[in-house]
Order: sequence, then C-alpha cells, then structure tokens
Amino acid sequence: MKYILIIFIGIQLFASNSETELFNKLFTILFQKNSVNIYTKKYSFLSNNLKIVNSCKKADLVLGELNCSKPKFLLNYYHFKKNKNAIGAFYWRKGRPQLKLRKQILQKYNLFISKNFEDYLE
Amino acid sequence: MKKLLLLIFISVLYSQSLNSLLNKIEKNNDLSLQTKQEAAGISYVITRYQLDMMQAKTLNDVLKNTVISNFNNRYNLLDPFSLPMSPFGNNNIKIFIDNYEINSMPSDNASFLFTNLSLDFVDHIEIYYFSSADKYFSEPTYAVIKLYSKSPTRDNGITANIAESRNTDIQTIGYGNDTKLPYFVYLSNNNIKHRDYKIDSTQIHKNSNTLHFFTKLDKDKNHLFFNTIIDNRDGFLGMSADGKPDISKIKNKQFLIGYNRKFENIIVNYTTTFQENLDDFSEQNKALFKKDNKKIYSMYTKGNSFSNSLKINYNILKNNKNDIEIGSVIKNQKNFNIDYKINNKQDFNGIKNQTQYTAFINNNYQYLKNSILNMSLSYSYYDNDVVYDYKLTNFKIGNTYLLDNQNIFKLFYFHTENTPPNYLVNSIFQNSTLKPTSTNSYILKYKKNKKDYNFDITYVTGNSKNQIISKNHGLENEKGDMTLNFIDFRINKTYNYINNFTLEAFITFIDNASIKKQHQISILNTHRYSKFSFFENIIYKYIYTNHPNKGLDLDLGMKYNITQNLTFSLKATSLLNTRYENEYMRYDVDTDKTLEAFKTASTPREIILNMEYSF
Repeated sequence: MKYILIIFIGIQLFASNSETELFNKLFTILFQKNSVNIYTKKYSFLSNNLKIVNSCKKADLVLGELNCSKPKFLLNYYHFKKNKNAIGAFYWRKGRPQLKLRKQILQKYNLFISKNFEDYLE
Repeated sequence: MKKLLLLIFISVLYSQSLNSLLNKIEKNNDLSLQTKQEAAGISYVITRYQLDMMQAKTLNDVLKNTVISNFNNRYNLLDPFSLPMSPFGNNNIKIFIDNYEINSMPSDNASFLFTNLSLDFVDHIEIYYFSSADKYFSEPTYAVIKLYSKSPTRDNGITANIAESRNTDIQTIGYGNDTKLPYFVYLSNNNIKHRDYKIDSTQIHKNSNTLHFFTKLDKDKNHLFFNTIIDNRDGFLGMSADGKPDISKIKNKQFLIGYNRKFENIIVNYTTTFQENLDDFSEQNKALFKKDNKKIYSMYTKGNSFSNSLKINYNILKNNKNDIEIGSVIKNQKNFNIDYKINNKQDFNGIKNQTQYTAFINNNYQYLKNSILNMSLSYSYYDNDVVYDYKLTNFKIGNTYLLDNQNIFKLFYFHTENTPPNYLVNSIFQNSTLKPTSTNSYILKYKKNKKDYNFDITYVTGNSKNQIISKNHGLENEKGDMTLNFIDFRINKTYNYINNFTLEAFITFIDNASIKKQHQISILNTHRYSKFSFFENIIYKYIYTNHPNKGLDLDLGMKYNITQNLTFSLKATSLLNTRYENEYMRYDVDTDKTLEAFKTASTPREIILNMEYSF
C-alpha cells in the first residue's frame, strides 16, 4: 500500500546492502571461512556470515579504528594512511567508493589473497 | 566435503566481481536518490557519476542535453528563455543550490551568474520543466535547476583541479571536513578567453572572469550556507543593434547567506542576498538602437539590491492516504544607489521596493491502491512602489496511476501565472505596460521502469496569454494566444551497474512565438574500463525561426585515473564542422534594415586538459 506514495514522492531509501555484500565477499574469502566474527562499533548487524561480536578477544577482524590487535580493516582514507598495520580499507574518495588492501599485512596475518584482489592490492 | 562446500560458496560469491560491486555501491548510494522528486513534466537527474564522466565544467555542458538548452544570449549570458535585445530573458527559470534560491533582483533570474561558473562544487543536479506550483518551488516558474553541493563525507579532504584549453582556464579547490561539525569549503577562479570576433572592422569580445566562493556547514538539523559570485565580463554584442558596440561590459557581485532548520514537521528556510550590478554599453557612431525614433547612444546602469526571503513548509498530515503540506514565502527586495543613465541622462522609473507574499497548499491523496490524486494551489501577491501590483494564482491537478511496479501513467493540468522581470517594468525596453503571462497546459506522461533501463514519453500541450515578445525594438505582450505542442521521448540504459546510455528526442511546435519549431536528438554514452573513463555526446539540433537553423555537435572525452588521488582527463568539444551555431539578429539603426545575423558556435571548439589531485 505504501509503495505507491514512496514512488510518487521519489523518496528512495538507499540500500547499504551492496556494502554488506562487499564485506561479505571480501572477509569470507580472506579468512577462508563461512562465518567471520567482526568487532565493530560502526554496525549492529552486517549479515549472517559476518557476526558482530562485542570483544576483541572473540573477533577475527576489527572493522574501524578500535583498540585491538586483530587484523584491522578501516573505513576512512586518512585513518588508513596513518595506520600502516591495517590490512585494508573501504572509504569514499572524490565521490567514489574505494577498496584498498595491503599485501604485506595480509601475508603477515596469513590471510588468503585471491587473484580477484589484485587490482586493489598495494 | 567442507572444503568443497567452501569452494562452491566462493564461486557463487564471485559471480559478481569486486569492481561490479563497487559500481553497485556507487549507484545505490548516489545522493540524488535522496533528493529527486517525481515530476509530472520533464525532469532530469544528472548524477555525480554522469557529471564526472561527461566532464561537465559548466551548466552549459549539462543544459545542452536537455529541453531547456544552453542558449547564451547576445550579452554572452546563459539565458535559455532569452528575449531578443533584453539583457536577461524572463523569470521563468529558477536556480537553487542546496534548496536556497540564487535570486537576482534585477532580472529575477540568476542563470546568468552561472554562465561560466565551474561545477566542481556540485554533487548532482536536478532539472524540472513544466512542474511548477509545487511545494518544493512554490513561486511561479517553468523551469527549476537544483544544484546539490558535494558532501564532506564523500569528498573528505582537499581536492584541487586545473582545467586548461585555448579558451578555458579554471582553477578550483574544495575541502570537505567530515568531523562532528561537517563542512565543505570551495573556491574557484574561472577565466574564459574566447577568440575575438570581428564584425566589419569592430572587434567583439566575450571574455569573462568569475570568482566563486562557497561554504556550507551542517550541525544536527541546522544548515548554514554562504555563496559569493563575482563576475566580470565582456557584454559581447550587448545592446548594439548592429552588433558593433564601442563599450560592452557587465559586472556583478553577489553575496548570499542562507539558513535552513528542520523541525519535526516544519522546515524553515531563510536567505539574505546582496547584489551589486553594473552594465555599461555605448556606441557613438551609429547608436546602440533606436526607440520611438530616438537614438540611444549609451546605457549605463549601476545599482545595488538587497533581498530577504523567508519560507516555511509545514507538513500538517502524512499517513498512508494523504500527504498534505502548507507553507508561505515572504520575500522583500530593495533596489538602491541606482544610477541609471540613458544618453548620459538619469532615467529611472522602475521598482525600488517590492514585497512578495505567497501561500501554498499541496496534497497527494491516494484514493485507490494504485492511484494518487496530486493537487497544489498557490497564491502570490506582489506589492511594489510602482503602479503594478500583481495577484497571481498557480495550481495543478493531476493523477498518477500505477499499472504495476514498472508502468506509470500521469495526466496533469497546470495553470501558471508569471510576472515580467522587475527590471523591465517602466523601462526603456517595454513598449507598453507588461501584464503577467498566464499559461494553461495539459501533460500526459508514460514511464516504464525496468531493472536496467527505463523510458518515458511525455506530451505537453499548452496555451499562453500575454506572452512577452520582442517587437519594434521593445517588449510587449503578444495579443494572440501562443500555443505549444511538445513530445519528448527518452530511453536510459544502465550496463555493468553504472555505465549509462541515454537517448532523448523531442519535437516542439509553437504558434505566435519567435521560435516556431524546435527539434533535438541527443545521445550521451558514459562508460568505464578499468582506470579509464569515456564519454561520447552527440546532439542534433534544429530550430526554425523565420528560417531553419540546424547543426550536429560531437563531444568526446577520456579520463585516466592514474591513482585514486591523481586524475588526468581530455575533453574535445564541437568536433564537427556541422556544429550548431547560435544566431544573433542585427539591424541597421538608420535604415531599420535587417543585417546578416551574427553566428557563433553554441559550444566553442576546444580541447580541454584537466588535472585533478586529492591530498
């Protein structure tokens, strides 16, 4: 019933699903696991494959700038430039979404580097 | 077994590449999805991706692909609804930045300030045509151009841009700060140096320099906005009837402060604008033009204007069936320090002070599961210090019918009333008292939305009374009705999630107007391959005034993203010799004989090299 008003007014809630889809794809391949535990304050839910945990101890990966020694994936360009130990980052630059991965750090954590990641490695 | 399952799982995941996913994220998060309105008439959304891909430098680059077109008048000012000889066409076009109207007191049409203004501060653009009397733009107008500035989140950090060509020299710098108090600051310097033209032995110049400073600040539901444009330019042919002025200069300075606050059901929008304007035209040999057998050798205008506008929108009811909004606008405009000389004698009898009051109501009523009744009504009262007090009523009534999720039909009736521009009232340009123009139009639209493509067909038939036309070297209301018939067809195809192909064709027939027919076909293709981006833009234009004028324009561009921070791009415009040329009428002041029209390319031929770096 509501959809018609939504179409008319032109309000389209933008889907963040595609972002989750990217994280899903990336993290499950990097960790070679069906289910990856994520420690983050940025999201309360990601997907069934990416479980949010509330402590660093339980986490496979830290998403965002948090104090934890596990592999860190950042969400800000300047944080990524500053933190040389981060495995990678997803951020917006010049109006476009960007994905970056650091080969050396991925290797340090024995994470799987797929051929499909080549364009995003530095 | 587990490993096999994992392999199957990974192969399913990789059915979409990471690149496609990034494209998908970009498309699904496009900021235009949050702002665009479904329009009854013709509407365009030029996304960040499209602006970026087609390397749109100015509003001219965008408008040439639309129904509005990018006509620059004989003063070399962007003025799509231009009237011959008058410096600024009419007030049937409104420009907004982030929902603040960029107003201009003399002309009530600020499009001229955007003639050479770089669009590097813009995230996306929406254009609405034949969609007036709406809650979003309640003032009477035919066309609305809404520019939305870049977001500090998406454009975090400093980005500097340099564009160079034979004609173009533009430097811009923007800074987005995405902290607890997000803000965006932007500065641009736009130098346009056209080659000098010659008419007989007279050199004609159309160079310009435009400085632009823009900043916005967001805190919770408060939005503060500051915009300054300083524009100095040659006035091109200007007021010279034979196109050979001795002096032709236009200068404008505009400072605008805007404040917007959102409450639960109420939006308050306040703008204050200060403008300084100087126009200087003279031709001592033959005279600029002749009015009532009197030769006008010089026209000099200098003045300041100050305007304040307060708009309140109140959403009184919003449920599954109704969405009712009421609102009001109060706008006061003052002209002062006016120095208006014709043949070196003071001659100003125009408006010095005007207050405009507008009230409006808008309702979308869903009376069936798949039908909405759209209604809006606005009433405006213009109170000024000259004899003309306008009372204008604008309304629309229409029905939106959804056959299913993909097929939408719209039928609308519009009634629009417009005042003539302020500066024309009691001026040398008017032959008689100018009455408001009233237009009745019917719009029929069919739109089909599929996952990867959409197309729409729009038919408009309209009838205008008291249309302002140019006759006997002055402006007057057309005695007969002007009728317009217009058909627009557009198809838009998306491929690889983000790449885009658009084809638009429209035909227009108008009776009792200077333009009798106007047809256009435009194709715009934008696509990315790895680090490269390309665009191809072809436009065929045909305009019939008292003779046909047609042309075929081709623009091509390539962008190379060397790193995510450094980009080089090349853009070539008007590559074909068959390009469309604007015609400017000329006549001899002594004999009143029509002279050969002066022609210049609608878009100059040039190759623009652009470099962009983000820190």
